[in-house]
Parts: sequence; C-alpha cells; structure tokens
Amino acid sequence: MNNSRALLIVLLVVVFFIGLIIKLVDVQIVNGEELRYYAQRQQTNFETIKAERGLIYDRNNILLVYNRHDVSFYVDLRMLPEKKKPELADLFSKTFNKSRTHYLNLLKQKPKTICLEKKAPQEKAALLSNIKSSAVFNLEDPSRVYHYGSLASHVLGYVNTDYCGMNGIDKYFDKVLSGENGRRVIERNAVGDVITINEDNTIPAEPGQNIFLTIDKTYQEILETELQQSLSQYQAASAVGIIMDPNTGEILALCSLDNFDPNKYWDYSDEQRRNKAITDTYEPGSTFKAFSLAALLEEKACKEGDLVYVENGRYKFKKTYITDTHKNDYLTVKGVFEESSNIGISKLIQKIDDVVYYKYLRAFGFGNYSSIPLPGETDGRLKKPDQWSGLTKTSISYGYEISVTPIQLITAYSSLINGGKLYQPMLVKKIEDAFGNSVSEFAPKVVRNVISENTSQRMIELFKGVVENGTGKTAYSELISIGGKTGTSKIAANGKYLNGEYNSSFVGFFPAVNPKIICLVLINSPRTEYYGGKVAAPVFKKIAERIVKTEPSKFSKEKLQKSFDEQFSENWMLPQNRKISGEESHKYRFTSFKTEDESNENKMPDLTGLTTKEALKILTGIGIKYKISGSGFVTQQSIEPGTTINKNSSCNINCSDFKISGVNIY
Amino acid sequence: MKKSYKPLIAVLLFLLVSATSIILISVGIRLKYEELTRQKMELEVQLKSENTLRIKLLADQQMYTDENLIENFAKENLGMIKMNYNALRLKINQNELDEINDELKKKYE
Repeated sequence: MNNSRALLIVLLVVVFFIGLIIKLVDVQIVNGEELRYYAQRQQTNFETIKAERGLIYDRNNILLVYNRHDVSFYVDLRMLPEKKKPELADLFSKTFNKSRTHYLNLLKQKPKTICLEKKAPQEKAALLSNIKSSAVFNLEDPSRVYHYGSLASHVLGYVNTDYCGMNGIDKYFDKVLSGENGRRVIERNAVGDVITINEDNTIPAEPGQNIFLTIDKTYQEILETELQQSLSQYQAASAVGIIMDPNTGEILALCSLDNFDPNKYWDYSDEQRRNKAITDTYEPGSTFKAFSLAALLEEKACKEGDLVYVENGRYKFKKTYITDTHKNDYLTVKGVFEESSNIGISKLIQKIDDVVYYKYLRAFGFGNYSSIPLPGETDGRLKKPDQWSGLTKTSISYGYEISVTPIQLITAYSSLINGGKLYQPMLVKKIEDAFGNSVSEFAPKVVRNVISENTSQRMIELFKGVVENGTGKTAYSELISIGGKTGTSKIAANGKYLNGEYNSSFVGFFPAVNPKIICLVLINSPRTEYYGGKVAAPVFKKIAERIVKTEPSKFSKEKLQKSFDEQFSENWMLPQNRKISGEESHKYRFTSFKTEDESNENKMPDLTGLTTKEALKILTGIGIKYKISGSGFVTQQSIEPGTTINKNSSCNINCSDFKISGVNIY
Repeated sequence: MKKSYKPLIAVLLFLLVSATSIILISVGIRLKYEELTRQKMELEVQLKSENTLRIKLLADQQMYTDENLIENFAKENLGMIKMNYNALRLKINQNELDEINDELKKKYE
C-alpha cells in the first residue's frame, strides 16, 4: 500500500514535470517568437558604448586635450511617485552638496523627463549606483578637457554638446579623433536593474586615435604671453602670431588674440573663436617688399649695390603719389630694403614683366590655400595680370592691392630663408592609435622650389641689414642674431582706407645664420604707435629672446657666449690679452670658455653645465644609452668629451644644483 | 507488487532529482554568468574611470613639473635668479698658474 502511495506521489510529480515541460515547450517553441518579442521590447534596450575620443599632445608629448567621463542623471517624472521625490532630493543634495530645495524645485516640474544633474564626475556618480527606481537613469556624458585653458585654443578648437569637433584640430581631424561607437544589449528587470548583457550582440567601441601636434607648448605660451602684453601696451584691437620652423614648415606656435577657453566656448563670440591667422586676410604692406626683391634678384634684374634715385620721399607715378617715410635722394637696393622705401621698390619692380612677377607671387603661394590642416582657411586675393591696372604691379611691390593670410605670409617667408623651398605648413607630426601604435607619420612636404639657394642667402643678408641698420633696429638683440622685415599697412574697409587704422607687422627669424625659427607678429589697429618697427618688432625681439633663453643649446652659442664673455670679463676676470701686473696677479686669468658643438654625433659631447633636460635631448639625439643621477645641472659624465662613441655606448650622468653666495642658481 | 514498484520509484526519483539538479545547476550557472557579466560591465566602467583619472594625473604631472612654471615660481616667489648661460669651464694653463704663484711668492716673501 505504501508503495502504491509512493508510486502515486511520484507519478503526480512526474505529471507535474511533464506539465511543466509542455508549458516550457509552449513558451519556448510554440509561442516562443511572440513572447521573445514582447520580452525584448519590455526588458532589453540598446546602450551605446561611446568611443573614447582621441587625445591631443604637443610635439614633446605634453598632453593638451583629454576626456573626462562624466555622467548625467535624468528622471522620468511620469514614473516617479510623489512620496519618493523628497528622498531623491535628499540623496542628490548630499552627493552634490547642493541645496535640497534646488532638487525639489526641479522635481516639481510638469511630468516629463528632466536632467537632475548634468555632467557629474564618475566618483560622485558611483555613490548613486544604489538608486533602485525605474524613473531614474543615467547616461554617459563625456567632457573634453582642454588642460591649459585658452592655450592654443585656435589650433585645438573645441567640441559641441554632441561631442563633435567644431573648430581647429578637433574639427579637421574629427573622424580620426572620434573613433567608432560600440553597442551593447542590456536586459533589465521591472525596476531597471541590469539582469544581463547580451555578450554576443555587443559591439565594442573603437577608440579614437591620438594626435601629436608640431606645436611646442613652451613656444605657444611665450607667443601668447607676449602678444597679450602687446595688446594692452599698444591698446590694439587684435593680434596674430605664428612661429614656424622654416626648414620643415612645422608650425611651432600659432595664436590669434583675443583667444577663448574651449572648455567654455559658449561664453565667447564668433569673432573671438575665429582663427584670424588663417581666415583673415590683410594687405601686408612693406613685409611684402621681400618677395618683390627676391623676384628681382632671382631674375638678375638688380644687385644689392645698385643705386636707385628715391626722389626725396615723394614720387609721382601714373598720376599717383608714392611716398616714403624716410626722405633720401639715392639709396642702394640694400638701402631701399633696409629703409623700406616704397619709391625704391616701385621703381625696381618695373624691371620685370607683369607675368613674370605674377608667376613668382603664385609660386610663393599667394592667392592659393596653404593647405594647413585647419578648417576655414581662406586663399587671399591676388589678381591675375590681365586684371591689373597700370598701378597694380607697383602697389603689389610694396604690399598693397594684394591680400594675404598670416599663414600664407610666414610660409612664403620661410622659403625666402631656407634655400628657396616652399613647404606646406605642418601642424600634425604623427597619429597613433589608442594603444600607442603608429598609424601615420607626417614628413615635411616641399611644394616647390621658388628661388635659388644663392638668392635665399642674399635675402638673409638683406634681412639682417634691416635689423642692424634699417627699420627693424628695435628687433636687434644682444642674445641672438636676428633678421627680418617690418611692415605697416593701412586697413581698408568698405572700399576705402580707414584713417589712423594700421596693421603693424614684423616677420623675423633667428639665428640669422642657418635660421631655425621664423616668427610673424601682426598687431591690428594699435593706438599708441603704428609703425611695424615700433610696435611689432619689439614684440618679436622679446619672443626671440625668451625662446633662446629657454633652449640656449639649440641656438648658435657664438653670440650668447660673446655676450657672457663680455659681462664675465668686466665683472670677474681680466681680458684675455691683458698682461698681469704685480697688483693684479692675485686674479686668475681665464683662457677660454668651452665652445664645442654638443651635436657632434660620433664624438661624445661635453654635457657639463647643461641642464638635465638639455643633456637628455642631446643624448636622445645621439641615440646612446644613459643613466642620470640627481637633478639640476650636469656636473660629471662617465664618457669623456670628445671620445668616439657608438650606439652601444652607455653614459652615466651626475647632476646637481649649483650654489653661489647663498643664492640658488637653477 | 511491492517488489515490482520499488525499482520504478527509484528510477523515477533518480530522474526527478537528476532533472531538478540539472535545472538548478543550469539556473545557478546562468545567474552566476549574469552576475559576472554585470560585474564585468561595472568593472569596465570603473576601468574607464580609472583610466581617465590616470590621464588627468598625467596631464597634471606634466603641468606642475613644467620647467618654465618652476622657473617662474622660483623667480617670482622665491627671488631666485636663473643662470642664462651654460656653466663655464675654465681652462687654466699650468705654466701661467706657476708663473702667477712665483710672482706672488716674490711679492710677499
């Protein structure tokens, strides 16, 4: 009987199981598709996995732009019971240190989805992870962080609320930086908790690539600081500055003032956000004489020593008067350039044909895009010879009836001093993927050869003359040899020149022998002074000297050493050739300072006295192994200077700070 | 009768227990899988957050160790001076030094 009962119970359980199985078959197979559809609609949702936007570095791997993974909290008020509102307000109030009333007011709105907290940091968002309400949900809301605020803002650009690049590198390389968003399928229960994630249908996000610019953060800071000071000193409307490597076309700094903070771009006007270095054109004035003269020299139409009658400062040409600021009767061609004589260059330019002159100007890149990788570049204005009036060639020769962008001008200037090669301006050195693998590297690109090396060398001498004897004297520096050209041009608006409104500019380079840096300074509408030589040239000088002081070993040390020798011998030592008298015999005689070139690759350079950073740069350049102890200045090196080295050599460097008379020298 | 039911009951019970165990185990595994998947997602978010923090700290470190920033601070806040030129290496001729020494000795002896 017991067995029968047991059998009965077991059979009932089996029947129950069979019933379950039938139901399962019904749920899974018979009505499976329909039920699955409803379940998916109710429980699953697609969540976008936002791709990490690429980072932006400067040329020395200094991180300029990165992302912050903020979270925004939303509430669907239609699904939030009234009694839960105070509780929610309390929680948010405690987490974000805002008043409870603030959140309660937000929650009192009409039934709709509202944003309760925008862009909350991840660490704070984590504190709210225990909210169990289907009415409250959060979404990733990343922010782009421009770490140095307004620094290089016109180069870097900014992103809008949809995280799309709107200006600068962020816009030009938007596709490269943004990567590909991914997707995951999430199953949630009735209260919104995650049940599971469908791994099979998850598409991971592909992060954006990182961009390494040619910009040097230090140079950029120097340029921006000096231009900003010049704006207030000369009460100018705006200013543009560009620093470039003339031998590669790499842009080392680019600034357009007023600038803006990309982190709060909405607080600034379109005018402030516009990159005037590439979008605004202007008549370059006397800085343009360099191209006229280069064309004349290349065509062998004149020589530096040729005399030109410059009419004592006033010359009638085709019913129009051309005037000079400095009155002279005769000037050599060199003098015409140094004194920036409009009359002189007007007379000289008649020696070459209109079409030939036009071809040179086109070859220098005027009237054409420079192809800088930034959005919004304009091509300037250069009329074709068949549209020229009788005065056009003359006007162009001293920088009128032509409009250029600052980037065009500095690019063309680079070709004047680098042996005649016109380079495409470079702003990006390389692109790497998120894991540090190289995606693409950019090499300097020569567009064309415009003038010969010989003409380029002659132009360098002429530029030096401008700074040493001519209108650019205010750019002369004791620290470094400088060449350059000043420019002052009237500003035109609505078809006529404005009274008292000028563009003051200076394009200069250093060192004058083998130029390594070229810099354009353009000050728009200065009030206190207006000549390029008085306004822009001193700014250039300050920039140049600060750059040289930052990296003294990069530039020719002749002048630096000379300057220091003079100071040192005056204050501390006897001149080298002076005999020691009995009274002076207690003083040491100095014989020589080191002048060895640190960049000699086969020989070990003398690193003593250099800063650790400078020594590192040289050692990295040579490619040998090294080990550094201490910090400050190099005091000892394990490989003697002048010793032949190879790639396997290893050098130990000892560094320490100097201390003289109780004052730290760092 | 008794003898004939027992093995059947045993088989049925065994099947029931086995089926139940299999179902429970599979449910357990599924729950564990779901939990691990959730954890994975949370850890991914945490990793992203940590990575962001790392990048921010790197940017901060680069900013605060910037040579110019330190120099400016040293100049403006500590009143230090910067040596603009490379350290000097004086090459002194030993003969000249001896000459000076002799001259000094002559003078003071």
